[in-house]
Parts: sequence; structure tokens; C-alpha cells
Amino acid sequence: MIKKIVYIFFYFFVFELLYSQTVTFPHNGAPDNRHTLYALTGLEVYQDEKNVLKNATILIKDGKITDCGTQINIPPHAIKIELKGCVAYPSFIDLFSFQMIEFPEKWPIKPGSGWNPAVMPHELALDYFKFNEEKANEYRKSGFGVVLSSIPQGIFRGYSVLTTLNNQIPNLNVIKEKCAQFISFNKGKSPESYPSSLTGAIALIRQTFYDALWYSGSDKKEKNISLEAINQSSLLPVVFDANDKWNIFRAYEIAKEFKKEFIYKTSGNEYQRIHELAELNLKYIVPLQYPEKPLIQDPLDGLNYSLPELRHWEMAPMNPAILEKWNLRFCLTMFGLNKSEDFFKNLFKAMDYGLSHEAAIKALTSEPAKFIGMENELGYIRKGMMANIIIANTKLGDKKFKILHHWIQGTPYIFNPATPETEAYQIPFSFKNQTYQIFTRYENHTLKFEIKLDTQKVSVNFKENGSIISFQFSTDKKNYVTGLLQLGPDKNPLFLALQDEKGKTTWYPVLQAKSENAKPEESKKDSIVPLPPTYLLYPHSSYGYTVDAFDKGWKNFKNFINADNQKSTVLIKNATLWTNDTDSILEGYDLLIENKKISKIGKKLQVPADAMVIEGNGLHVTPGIIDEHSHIALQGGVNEGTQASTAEVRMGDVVNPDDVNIFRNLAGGVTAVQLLHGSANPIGGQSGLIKHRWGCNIQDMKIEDAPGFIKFALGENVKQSNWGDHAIWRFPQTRMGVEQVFVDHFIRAKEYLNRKKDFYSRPKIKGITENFRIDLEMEALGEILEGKRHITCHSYVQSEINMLMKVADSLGFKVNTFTHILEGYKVADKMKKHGANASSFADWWAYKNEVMEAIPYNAALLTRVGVNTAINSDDAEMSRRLNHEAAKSIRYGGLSPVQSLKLVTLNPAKMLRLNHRMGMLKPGMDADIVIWSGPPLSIYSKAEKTFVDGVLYYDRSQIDNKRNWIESEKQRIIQFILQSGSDESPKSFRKKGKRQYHCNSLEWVNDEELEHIR
Amino acid sequence: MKRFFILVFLALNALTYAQRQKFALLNATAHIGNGKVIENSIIVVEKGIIKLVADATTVRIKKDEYDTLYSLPGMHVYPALINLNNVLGLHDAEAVRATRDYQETGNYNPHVRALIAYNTDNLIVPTIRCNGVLYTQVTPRGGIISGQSSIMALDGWNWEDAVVKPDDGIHLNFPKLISVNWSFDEGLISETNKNYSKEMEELKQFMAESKAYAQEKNPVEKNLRFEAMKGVWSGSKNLYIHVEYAKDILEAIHFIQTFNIPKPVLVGATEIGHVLPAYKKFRYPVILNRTHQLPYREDDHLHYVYQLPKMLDSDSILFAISMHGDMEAMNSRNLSYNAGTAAAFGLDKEKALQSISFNAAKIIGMEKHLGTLEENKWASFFVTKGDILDMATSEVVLAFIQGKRIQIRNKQLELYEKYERKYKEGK
Repeated sequence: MIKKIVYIFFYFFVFELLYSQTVTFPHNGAPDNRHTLYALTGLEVYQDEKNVLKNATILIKDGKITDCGTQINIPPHAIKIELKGCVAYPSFIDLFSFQMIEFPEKWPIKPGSGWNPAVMPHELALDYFKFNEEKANEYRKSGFGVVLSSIPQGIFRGYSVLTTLNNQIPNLNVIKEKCAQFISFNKGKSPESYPSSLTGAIALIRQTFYDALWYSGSDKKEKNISLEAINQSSLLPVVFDANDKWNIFRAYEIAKEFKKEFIYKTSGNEYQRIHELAELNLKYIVPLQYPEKPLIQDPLDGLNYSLPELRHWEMAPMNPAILEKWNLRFCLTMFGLNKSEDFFKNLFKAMDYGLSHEAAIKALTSEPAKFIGMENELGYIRKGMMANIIIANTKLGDKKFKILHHWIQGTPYIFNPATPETEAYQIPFSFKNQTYQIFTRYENHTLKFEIKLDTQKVSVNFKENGSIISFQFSTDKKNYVTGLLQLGPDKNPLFLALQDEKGKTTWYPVLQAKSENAKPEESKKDSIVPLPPTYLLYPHSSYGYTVDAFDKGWKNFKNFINADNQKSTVLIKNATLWTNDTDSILEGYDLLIENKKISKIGKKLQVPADAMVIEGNGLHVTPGIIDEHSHIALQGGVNEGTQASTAEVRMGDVVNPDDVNIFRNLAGGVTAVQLLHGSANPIGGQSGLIKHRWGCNIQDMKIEDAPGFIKFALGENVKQSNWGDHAIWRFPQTRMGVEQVFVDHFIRAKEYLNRKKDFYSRPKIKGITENFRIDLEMEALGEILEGKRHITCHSYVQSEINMLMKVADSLGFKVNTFTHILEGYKVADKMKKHGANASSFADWWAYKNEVMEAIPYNAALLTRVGVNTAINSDDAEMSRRLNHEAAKSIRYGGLSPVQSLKLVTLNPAKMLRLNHRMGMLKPGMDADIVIWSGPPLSIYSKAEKTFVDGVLYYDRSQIDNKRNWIESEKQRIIQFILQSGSDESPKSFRKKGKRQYHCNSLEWVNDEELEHIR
Repeated sequence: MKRFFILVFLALNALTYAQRQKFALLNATAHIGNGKVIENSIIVVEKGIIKLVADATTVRIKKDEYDTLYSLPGMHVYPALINLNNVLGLHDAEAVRATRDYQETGNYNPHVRALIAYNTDNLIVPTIRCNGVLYTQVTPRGGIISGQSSIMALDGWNWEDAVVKPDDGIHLNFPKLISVNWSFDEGLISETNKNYSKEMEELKQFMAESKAYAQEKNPVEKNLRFEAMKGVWSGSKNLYIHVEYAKDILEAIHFIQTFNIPKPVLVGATEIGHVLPAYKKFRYPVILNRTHQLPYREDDHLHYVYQLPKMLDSDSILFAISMHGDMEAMNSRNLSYNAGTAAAFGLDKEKALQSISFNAAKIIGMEKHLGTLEENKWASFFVTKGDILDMATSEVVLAFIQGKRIQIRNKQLELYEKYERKYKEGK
């Protein structure tokens, strides 16, 4: 009965409190509207990161700051709270939170929305917002008063909602229900399979923005609330969940294309490309999420971690400091932390690693407020602002820092009572005939409590509960004494009670306790954290170049490698040159590289001043090897593959410059590759053509002005023959269907081009704004029809090869290259007539049914019929010894050595339409050059030096040194890990793996399950 | 002399070649397989056995005693290459489930025998022997104990007459301390194998029980799996322990010691380079994976795998190079080039050859018959135009298996000739 009454009482009480301050809500009984004026005095107030007021007062009323200053008259009706010595900060703002969004398992699909459920810019996070007191309290304890919550899934995630973390006023804590749009590359659990890859996600975002442009015209062709939402929110800030340094650049490319500005949520590894990000002038939301400490327990454990992994562990806490030093605009988020307690720990670690107090405050208060255009209400302690204030015992970064009060919309949350300095008390007592003393004192809002037996310190557990300090101690570790000390209003001791092991309790009144020299001992100063060296790896890989994070002398790595690190003039003397220009091999010739190009070839060339001279005696020089078919250096999937045509996706968008296979390629003399989409669908994606400029960023790796290429595929992969018995629904399932996919798409592309031409040629009607709908898939196919984009088609069996050529002839386009093309030898005459190139494996076969008639003589036969033929890899391992794969065509079919070398140099350059600059040693050609220890086709020859654009990227003579350096750096970091003790060490080993892609790799299936497909 | 050779070739251009009673190879450079090279050699074969290997300038022969004399100046003779640890013969088109016969279901299958699934009419085999690989160890895959391998000659009417050493060993896939798992949310994750101790306990239990069973004279009930293990305990069968990573190799050493395995062989062992100081105390034989493989770790020396054979050789560890890995059956024809890469990275060329001939023969206990061009061994060898380790010069012109000359032809060559004709006639 009593319980029930209490419950009912509580209910009314809470109800009243909750609804009392809202005007429109009904009242049960007399309204309890309070308009109390609070005066917080004696504070050191950080109005923002720069302006500090000493001994200042803040007045709070009705949820707002009504005044703040040092000369404020406190009205008599104010409740004055004395906070002498305390520090006030604007409370923090987190722009990236999923914590209070309950997004349903069953994906919501709104009527009138667009085709792809992952595109939901029309959704309101508000609809799924559920205030969670437990989560809110974690934020409040960590200093956050306002969070921006978004839907955690989807590509376009819709409107995020800005709320305070005030739990008193259920409707007032929503500040803005349409605060910012959110976009991500990760579709989450969207029920639609497209996009399955990063490249697909990029294409979908671009297409959606194009669709929105089209939709903004006045001639509506359909109702689409998704596109409407994008257009309606065009002035709102957009948060882009990039979540990786390279994804920042990728998202930035989208922003440039559509003249948009994003706020980039990062993953904490952006320092790794700081020199280039500093050029872009972007805004960031940065997590304080650091990698788990590596588990090092014995001499072999170091094998489990690569240098870049260890280095990231070491450098991650310096990320905010590096961003600050380069003047990047960023705010900080709690997102990604395992537990909320890590927030201050990690923030202070970042401050130990160089993040300034000023920058930390800015990143948590004024900067996030400005990012979302709320700087007139949030982020500052100024008159008229929302009363969101943190009161702390000391300044941020101090290890003793703790939040005492957190005011949110004028509601105080008390985490620790404010107790600045008190007197020091010394309480002598005798117990069991021994003389003890208690020393107690509040210092900086923290209780210091000590017991001494005579002059010996006794180990004691204590806890403050309300006005009572409870404690336990023992002098013999056997018999324990419990005690309590009751405190008065000034924290002065009133009573002491002790209970011995027999249960006998003794009460002592405390009469005289003050003492001038009774200060408990000071705890030792924090030791200074040793900071790691500040070099960065360009790229972030074991074999990357080291560049100082604070070296401001250059803008991007390309400039660095071109200017600072290299001699630009190189003379190779007296070497054997395989020029590919003539069929003969030139012996005893010199080759001069100047200004990234081959400038001279001849005998006894003059040595220019400042040239790097290489004695070429016994060495062979060839043009750089070009791999026509590669899937290295890609991120987030090689196949979109979820639709029969994904012509809109671009592999150039997802180049991963950090992949060590680039360097391994260089070590095999490979200087350029075509990064192809996979072969999961008849019309795949657009190729990325890159040079192996190791260390350069995505854009700088791409070959300038390279013509467009696109992957097509035929046969078992596109029919899904080897995907298991469930994969029987996607069209096409037979070679018959494959033909129709091409016919259908190219007819549609023709119609599209006609529509486009018609649109731009017909006169515009006044008053009607009409936009042409750019269809990225049709654009790519249209480029093929216009001869601006070239096909590389995965193919095996003669029938389908012939089919595609016939389709192409009938629709007026060309098949540039058949890749793999293992039965090309059967239709070589037809291919020659069509003008197709062939890019074959040297000797692969028998891995599936359609390659049972593959022969290693393929390249030789094709070559002799007159088809321009290359040997490719489709494999990170084979790629680095393509010269030896080419040599197999001497063994099988008797090509000459020069013909064989051309299979991996000049011929792929021709089919990639780059032979005006690559593939030959000839003045004017790009200085992409390999120096071999012997004849390039011999198994015993090694690439000694590999140049790309005249830059020496690989030098075999340096590799042992580099390896030693890698080992010594690893050992240094391992020592650092060991010095830090077992603190934070994980219980077991766990880390993310890396994947080698092949043609058939699907992002949504494990390679193991597909090991029989190629 | 060249004309003579061609004449012989044409005369013998029949589908199968009868076994010559007595023949000799003259004037070729003989790579003996034990490090020795005879520049101008004579090799005499009688009834399938090598009777003489010598410097041709020191021996006089009577022509009429021989059925055939092969004059091979400028050419090279090598002992048969042996392709260890391979599924060759157990599948045709690998993606087609119906043609795959190398992986049984279940974890402990020592009784499963690969040889009976070895198809002498397999489509891949003829392409392999054209590159000097004349023997293969047909090896089952999967589970913890996959089953038993056998040594097959790449010639025969069926498995029964192709086999030269049936059931030579049992293949154990040693549990891994770190497992690589894949999930939709996170992708590839490598992490401490949570089932490791369970897997090890199961394995130890199996070993202990099979060892006990081997001691029992009249078992109450025949256990096929334990029966199959008897050879491991008696030392008549190798125990092939497939293990790749550094710590796992140490665990494998412990395992071998614990059970006192009479004939252990480590297979794979890619990270053995990181634990060599420990390993060289024991020097169990090793069958390495192909050298044409990427290093496991990003930090590894770019050429770590290439250098590995030289490292083992320097520590006097008996090793062979195998083609185990992706598409290993069809890739078996590249075995010699993988040895070539080892030679490019420090291993003596003749030792590189040895790693795919004599060493392999020693590991499988066939060194009395195979592995070198030495008297009283089987006449299993082949002749090339040049260096077998180097692609460009490795064309094989003659090959013999136990004295029987085999065709250097296959369907691929026929297709080549067919289409070459097509295009020539087209002109």
C-alpha cells in the first residue's frame, strides 16, 4: 500500500516537472511553472575557445543565459551558486550520433520514394528518435549537451535531428528536426542488393544528385519524394560519413562535381594524407577512436602486425594535433568509442600528443555549432545563448579534470558536488590502545583522505556518500575496521565511528580538528608521455616513403617525389636496350632521362650536369611492363555486379594507393596497369588506368588523359554458372541471354543519345525550366557508341567472342580488347578483321568448363595472325613476374624474344591507346623504364631499378636496407608497447584482414566459397 | 646429326612406344640431379634401368648392341621431375563439381586413398608431362586428416599400373593458432583461433588412440581409420604435416616430438624462414609451396618466398619445391620455373633442379629408383633443347618413364597445330 502511494506521488511529481514549463501541455492541478534565476559565480568562464573571463558570473533563467560577465549585479531573487575556482565551458556538441535512433529491422519504404531503398533523403531521423536516458547520461557525463542524430543506415540517410540531452522537457529537447542531411558509402542492411561495392555506392550517389538536378525542373515526369527532399534540403549542411582517409578524397570529388560542400566524418587516419587534405579546406568530424593495443607477448607476435598497423596505433592519438597544426577545421565526436569513459581519456591523450586546449574547446563547442549554422544559439557562453554549460573543477587536459555540473537548457545535472578548497583537518583518535590520525581535506573538488598509525600510512578504502565518508582499514590484513566520518555543512568533521572485528562500535565526537600543516601528501606529478616520431608513410604501407607530418614545404606527394627526393636527369650508360622500336636489340647504348621523358638514345651521350649516372654494363633496359588486366590497389570491391549492367561504376574512384602490391609490381618491373571491374555481369564498370606512382594519391596515380575503358564479360561468370544452385534468377543465365543484354543496352543507349541530342537542339520554352536527365549508365554506353570509350571484354569461348563482334558490328561500335580470350586462337582471323586486340593468360586453363580448350600457344597464334596481343595477370602474384609469363610464348609457339617482350609492354600500351607515350624506348616517350640484371625474359633476371615518369620508385639495392629499417621501426614500437605494460592489452589477437581481388571476387561472398571460379 | 634425330623421331611417331630393350642417349649435357653435370654424356638404358652414365669421350660403344641411339648434342638431359603434394589427376574442369575428386567430407579420413580416383585419362596430365614432370604425388585435401597420397607415374592404362608407390603417406592439416574468418559486416578478420585447444585435443586423442591400436595384435573390431594409421607408426608411411605460419611450425615440431612420429614431413611451411634457428635443430624434410607466391605479410621482404629455398639449403634442411596453391593441377607444368626462381634468388642451379627431382625422391623414399641420372635407377628422364628452369629454353623433346618413351604431345599441341594449319591454309 505504501509502495503504491509512493508510486502515485512520484508519477504526479514527475508529470508536473516534465510538463510544467511547456505552454501548450495540459496541467494536472495548479501549474508549477518556475522561472528561477540562477547566478553561477566565481567562475573562470571560457565564453569560447579564446575569450576567458576570470571570476565571472553567469546568470541563467528559463533555459537561457541571461547574462555573463565580471561586473554583474546579482539580483536578490537569484539563487547564488558559489563556484570559486571552477571553470565553465560551453557544453559540447556532437554532430555524429546513432545512439538514440531506433531504426527498424524491417526497412521502411515510404510511398512515393525512389527506386533504391538505400536512398532515403526524405526520411526524418526524428521519426525514429527515442530519448534514451542511459545513453543521454553517458553523453552528459562526457560533457555533451547537444547531439545531432542521424539514421545509421542507408546511402542517403535523410534529415538528422538536433536535440539537447535534457531529459526534463520532452518536446523542448528537440532543437531542429531538419538540421543536416547525412550521406554514407555504406548502405547498411538495405534490402536492395545494389550497391554492393564502394564503387557502386559512389555511382548511386552521383546518379541521385543528377536525378535531383533533373527533378528540379518544372516539368515533373514522376512523383519522387526522395529527389524532392534533396532539392528542398539543398541549403542544409550535409554530413558525409567518409570513415577513411581515401573516402574523404572520394567524397570530395563528388562534392566538386555537384558544387556541394560536405562535412566529412573521418575515421581518425586522415593524418596519413595531411599534406594533401590541408590543401582542400574542408570541414571534418573527427572521432577519438584509437586502434586496439597490439598484443605482443613473444618474439613471433610482431609478425602479426605490419609496420603501418603498428604505426597507426602509435600515431592515432596525434591525429587531432596534426589537424590543428595544419589549420584544418574540425570538431570531435564521441562516435566509435567502446565506452563513454574513453572520451576524456582519449581526448586528454590527444592533448598530451599536442592538441591545444584552445583547439580542443573549439572542436567541441563553437566549431560544431558553426558547422550546422547554430552558432547564434549554441556553442558559446554568452548572453542569449542556450544555457548549456559545463562546470568543471579544472581545465580540460588536467588529469584531475572532472565535470561537477552540467547545465543543459538551464537544467543542472550534478555529477560531483562543487567543493573547492576546504580547511585541512587532522583528527586524532585512539583505537585498541594505538594512536591514529585521520587527515582529510577537499582540494579541487576531490576528497583527500588518509589514516596514519603513528607516522605510518595505513592503506585505506574510502568512499564519500552524501555527508558521510565510509572507510575500511586493517593494520594486519586480517582484522578489518570499518569506520564513518560524518561531515558538517563546511565539510568539517562532526562525528567519527569505528567498528572493530568483533562488532564493537565506538563513537568519537570530533572537537578540534583544524590543522595548518595537516595537508595530505601530494600525489606525484604525471610523468611526461614520450611522443612517437612524427614521420608519415607515403603511402601508408611498409615500403612507403617517410615524410615528416609537419613538413610544410610541399603540397602533394607528387610534388615531393618529383622535386625534393629525386634527381630528374638520369643517364643509363652502355646498356642493352630493348627499344621495341625496331626488332633489334641495341647493345652498348646510352639512354638519357630528362624532365620525366626519355630525351636521348645513342652511343656515348654527354653526361649532363647533375645527372644520376647508372653504369649499364651487362644490364638490360626495357620499357615498363604494362598489365592490361589487374585488380590490385582497389578498395571496397572489384565487382558491383548486382545488375546485368553497371556501366555507371568507375574503378578509378576506388583506387587504393596504400596497397603494397603496387610496390611489389614495381619490383617486377610493372609501371602501369588497367584496374578493371570484375566479370560478374555482362556490362561491368569503367576501368581505372594508373601508373605505379608509389606514394601518390588517387588522382595523381591515374594516367592523365588516358582514354576511357570499360569492362564487359561473357560466359560462365555472367551466367552465374558457378555461383551455386541459388543463383538462377538474374538474367542472363545462358549465352543466348548475354547477347540480348548487349543488344538491349546498346539500343537503349542509342535512343538515349538521340534524346539528348534532341533535348539540346530544340528551342527552350519560356517559363518552363526543363533539365535533361543524365543517366550515368547510358552516358558510359553512349561513349562507346561515340568511340570515346573502349571495351575490354572478359571472354573465353569462340562462340561468344564472335557473337559480341557481330553485335558490335550491327550496332556500330568496336570491341577494343578481348581479355583472357583463351579461345581467341580459334577466331583470330575474325578478331583481326574486327580490329580487336587480345589480352591473354599465358598458360592458364582447366579451372572451369569454358577454359578446357585453352592453349598456351594462344598468344603466339594470335600474334602470327596479326592480332595485337598482350599477356595479362588478373592476379597480384603473377603481375609481378609478367616478363616470365611473356617468356612462355617463346616456349609455346616460338615467338621471338622481342615479340614476347612486346606482349607485356608495347602491345598492352597499344590496346590501352597509350602507345604514344608508353611501350617503347624512344625520345619523347614517358620515362617508364626498367633496368634488368640480365635479359628481361630470363627467369634469372631481376628488375634492378624501376622508373615511372623518370622517378626511381624501386631500387633493388635499397630493399635490404628498407627491410632492416622496417624491422628496427617495428622493434621500437614494440618496445613502446611493452613499456606501457599490460594496461589495455587485448585478451586475444584480432584484426582486420586484407583481401586480394580477382575478376570473380564478390564483395558479398567469401573467396573461399568461390575458390573454383576465375 | 640433327637429321638423324628427326629420322628417329618420325620412325617412332606412333601412338604408343614400345619399351626399348636397350638404348643410349649420346652427347647431351646430363644434369645428374645430385649437383653434378656431365657436359658430353652417355646414358645407357637396358630394360628400363640406367646401366651407365658417363662422359661420352671416355666410353666406346658398339652401335649394333642398341635398339636406338639418340644423338643429342647441344641438348640437356634431366632426371624426371617429381610433382609433390598436388591434386593433379583428381579433377578436370575444377569449377565443375562433378569432375572434382580430391576432397572427402569429414575431418579424419586417413583411410581415404587418392590413388583410386587418379584418372590416367585425366585431361590435364598430358600437358604436365610435356614439361618434364613425370611423377606426381596424388594428394587428397580437406579436413584435419585428408587421407593418403600415392606416387604415380604420369603414364599408364589405369591407376593400378601408373602407381609406383601406393599410399606413401598420410596428410594432416595441422590446426592453426590464428584463424581467418569472413563476415558480411566486417569482411576478413584474422583472430586467435578459439577452437584451437579443442582441435588440438581431438587430434592428440586421435593420434594416441591410433598409436595404441597399432600395438594391438587382434583388435576386437577393425577400425579402418586406425588401420590406415599403422604405417605412420611403423615408419612405412610419411606423415605429411601441412602447416604454414611461424608459431604453427613450432607447434608442429612439438607435436612430432610428443608422438615420436617416425617419418614426419612438413608441407607448405612458408613462414619457416622466421623460425629456422629452432627448426634446424630437427631438420625434418620440408615440401615448400611454389615460389611463385606472395609473401604472407606486408612487411616481409618482397622476395621472401623467392629466397626461402636458399635459406633452407644454407641450413642443410632437406627440401623440395611443390606447386601447391591456386589451380595447382594445371600449374604443375610450371614446376621447373618455380625452381628457376629459387635459382635466381641464390640457390645453385643444380640444387634448384635437385629440389624438384632428387630431394623430392628422397622425401618420398624413392631415391633408389628416382631423382638422379645414376646407374641402377629407373630410366625416367627427359631431354630439352635448353635450360629446363627457364621458360624460354625449356622445350622438352624426349621423355622416358621407366625406360618407356612417352609422347610429347597433348590436346593443346594438337589444337595449336590444327589452328596453325587453318590460318596457313587460309593464306
